[in-house]
Amino acid sequence: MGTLFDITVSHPDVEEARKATDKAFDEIQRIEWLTSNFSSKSEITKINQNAGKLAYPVSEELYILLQKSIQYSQLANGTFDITIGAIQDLWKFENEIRTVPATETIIRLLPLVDFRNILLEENHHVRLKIEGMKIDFGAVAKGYAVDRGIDVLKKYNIDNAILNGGGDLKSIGEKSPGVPWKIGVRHPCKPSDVIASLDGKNNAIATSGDYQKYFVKDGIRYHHILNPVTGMQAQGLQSVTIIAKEAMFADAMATAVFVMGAEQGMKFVKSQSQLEGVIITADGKKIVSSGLKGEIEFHDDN
Amino acid sequence: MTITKGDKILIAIVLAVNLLSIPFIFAVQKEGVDVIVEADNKLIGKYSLKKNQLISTLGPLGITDIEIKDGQVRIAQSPCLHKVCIKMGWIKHSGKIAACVPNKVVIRVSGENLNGMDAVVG
Repeated sequence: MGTLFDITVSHPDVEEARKATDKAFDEIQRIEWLTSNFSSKSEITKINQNAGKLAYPVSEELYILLQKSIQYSQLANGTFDITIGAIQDLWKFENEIRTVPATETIIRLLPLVDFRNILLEENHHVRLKIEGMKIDFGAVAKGYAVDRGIDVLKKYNIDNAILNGGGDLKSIGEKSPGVPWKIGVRHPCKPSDVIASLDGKNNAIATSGDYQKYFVKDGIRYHHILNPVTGMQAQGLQSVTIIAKEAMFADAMATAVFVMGAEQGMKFVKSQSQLEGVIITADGKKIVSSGLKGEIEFHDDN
Repeated sequence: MTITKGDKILIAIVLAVNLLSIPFIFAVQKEGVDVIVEADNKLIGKYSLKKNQLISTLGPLGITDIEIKDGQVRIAQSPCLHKVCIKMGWIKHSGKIAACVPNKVVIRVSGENLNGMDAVVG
């Protein structure tokens, strides 16, 4: 996932805490292997290699992850799509040499991006309909790892903790009796500052921002949040923070709302009873969903 | 800092996830704009980002070089196989982390601007 995970635990017994965090990190590492397409042996790699040809049998866990991802795509009307892989690869955000792909190449590969062409068949078989299609779990893997990591901590008797997976976090319990966890939202223009803060209340918080991964070429900033419909950078926003019960859901929906833009995005958040959110537009305007009013505190001047 | 049994303590642990192994370290309190360097789960030191310098620290595989330049810090050299740590590049913002997982070296930027927050998203 290329991400660092950070666990903060408040617990009376240090040895017990250490054991629990060890187990949580083991789980996160396992999910890294499960969802990664770096390894030539991973299930995702096998599904991708067989695109347009065979249905490939996968583990139940991965099958469920795919099912959930497709449900998210349906809910978000295609603004979130794990088949973005084919286009995501063109942008090579991981490489040192950054190039802007040719428009013709993007247009040629765009038909490969469509979650409707992930076919979930009997006995946990998965088939990608078109050769060249590629699943990329980038927008959900971190969130899923956070959820599972928290489950493991709970199993090992940890009641008070924050698990932060580089932009996706989940908190349980409180910092100390009567003192809630304080969660900051990074300022998109001044990344050393927080723009807002809120209490962590047994929920997940995820942020998608244009400042997280980007490169500048010929004076234009190219960030990593791509619109599955155009294959180009989603426009109009600086960051989207989503609060939900599950980090995986918050993670996916932060990406989706970023792609939707300010107006559609906030309309979507309001239509989903299990979501709250904050949108920061390109011109610095902050739009807060009704359930967060009074819960979130802004730290800048305007 | 001494920890007695039964004390209510806060433990912060960091993990660098890549394809190789699972490290964790105990983090320390942060103040000012510094980089905190840890190796093999132990605090090596805290260095100001205002002073350009090269810090070498020893991990299980050998020496990792950490470079501070113009308010930023990076892992400049490390004896690991995949050099994921070097590819992480320069970091400068409070709370940002880079790590050489195989050599168990973690660098973390502390800072005064995130005061009072237990965690930061984004």
